[in-house]
Amino acid sequence: MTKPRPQVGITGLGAITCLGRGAAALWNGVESGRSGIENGLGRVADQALADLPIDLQKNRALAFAVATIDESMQQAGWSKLNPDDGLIVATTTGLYQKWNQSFAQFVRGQQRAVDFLSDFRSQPLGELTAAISEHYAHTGPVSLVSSACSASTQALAMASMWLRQKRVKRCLVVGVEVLCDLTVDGFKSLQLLSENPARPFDRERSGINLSEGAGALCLEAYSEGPRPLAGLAGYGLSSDGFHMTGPHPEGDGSFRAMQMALKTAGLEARDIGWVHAHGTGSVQNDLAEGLAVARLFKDRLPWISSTKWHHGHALGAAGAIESVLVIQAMQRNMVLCTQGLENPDERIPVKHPTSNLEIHDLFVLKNTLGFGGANATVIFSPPIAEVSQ
Amino acid sequence: MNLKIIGVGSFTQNELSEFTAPPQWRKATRNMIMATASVQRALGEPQPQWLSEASERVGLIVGTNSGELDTTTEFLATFVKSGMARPVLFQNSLHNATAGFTSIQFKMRGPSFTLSSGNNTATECVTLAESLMADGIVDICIVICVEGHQRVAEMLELGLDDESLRDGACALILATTEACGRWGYPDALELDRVQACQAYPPPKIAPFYQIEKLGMFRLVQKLEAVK
Repeated sequence: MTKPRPQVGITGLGAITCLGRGAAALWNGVESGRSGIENGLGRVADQALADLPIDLQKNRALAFAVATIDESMQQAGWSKLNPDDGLIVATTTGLYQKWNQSFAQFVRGQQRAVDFLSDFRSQPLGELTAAISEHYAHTGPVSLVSSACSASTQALAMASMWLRQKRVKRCLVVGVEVLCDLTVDGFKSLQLLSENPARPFDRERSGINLSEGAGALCLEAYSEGPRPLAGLAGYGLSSDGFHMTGPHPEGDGSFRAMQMALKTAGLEARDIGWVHAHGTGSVQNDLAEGLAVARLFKDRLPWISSTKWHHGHALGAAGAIESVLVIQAMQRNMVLCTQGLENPDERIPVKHPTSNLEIHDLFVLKNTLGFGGANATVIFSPPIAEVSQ
Repeated sequence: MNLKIIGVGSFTQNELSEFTAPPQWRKATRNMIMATASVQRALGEPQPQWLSEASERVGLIVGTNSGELDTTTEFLATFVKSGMARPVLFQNSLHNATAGFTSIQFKMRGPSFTLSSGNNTATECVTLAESLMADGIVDICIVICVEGHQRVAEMLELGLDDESLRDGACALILATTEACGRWGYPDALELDRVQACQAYPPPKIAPFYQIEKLGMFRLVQKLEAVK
């Protein structure tokens, strides 16, 4: 049986993470078994931005975005963003760094209200999108998604809609996140952080590593652009409607998002060779997600892994960064294993690769589960238009 | 695609002091209360059948520029002054906390998005609702626009009487023609896309977006008046 041809392809990738600048640095770091996590956090080294103009370096979120957008556009062969191109940004903190220090000084009485207000103009998340649009002189449709950890994956789903519904000719998706005290202290207060690199799906897992960075993907309609790196075959979206921070205990929402993704892709469960999990290393997330995968795939379990031991959890940028990694793995016919997984949690009945595997013609399901119960799934297909059984 | 309106509801800042929230909303922020109360009004009583029988086919889109700004600043101020990070404040400070809270109150299981697109937030919300319906993902979509920044305005002593600083929320429930037929809305109005998608005017005091000047808010209030 011939699998349906995806209508949307990914033609360019860009990334910046604690493993370095560039999609290749991300890949090389993961393939060589390296972790960019130090003291429980994944920071992008300042040197990674050293070649950017000083003004840009001072605006870390914008610097991350520009570095990755430039890389992805170069690979896709886009010389600029046209008025009929779309831009979708995903983030939870935006330009927060531009005003948080000022706010602390204001609260301590060390800064006047009028001076704080000047910095505070950067507060709306849309200011990041405006800054990116201005940098690229982009006048086409823009949107910003802020659905916590599912933001980037939702942005990919939106890009797919925009292209297939002909709102735009091409679409750039960029997920951006900068480490800040708000998120670090906030997650600490929820007792969700680990000081060591995360151990997704391990029975001894003890929490997540927050990280920063950006991932950018250029998307085009399949018939219009160059031969894509991979197809975006389908997407799934759902809510748990259950809890503000914890997932549904049996991963019900994630199950439905994955189920929808298979349906929109015109695929069956047995077509998926690899689930690249959200797999944060938190006790609740990995259990819920694993149970959802087991329920969906039953006796046709694909390999399941998480790579957050290497690069941490970049919140709103996670889906984009990890999609960049997944597509590079697909190009090399490789399923990545879960570093940090020594003793799989026996309550999670899934199939973990114990080392990186060579598998051809991979269809990969990329999962994210976000705070507020927002679940999003995308399915990537091989670049070949049709794969015959 | 022709979108139909099957529910409208708004909530203004002036109502907050008189509003009696249900017990299960005791940890809700101002934004959560305003947004969820708007939806409650749009749904009406009793709640429509589609909410319980087809919740996976109902989308939720929250558009906001302020996000949970008041809670964010309260979390940060508490931390700066006392060194204490309060977990409830943090979980409520995320931009999509409003959407999370609303979806829990109404047991919503369909797609949930939070968008923050500056002046064009309302346009992007309506366009996304259309896209989800065109893709066959949802049949009905609850679109909320909400802005809440009173606490910060107080801290900055900007003058609470200034109408440009007022908080508020509006909810539009949109449906496909087919869903209107299935769920019993034969006379549903067609969405005036031009008004619903009118951009926010530039903030009088940046970065505070004026919800009461938003085209969608005014449309909702106009339709509420004749409900």
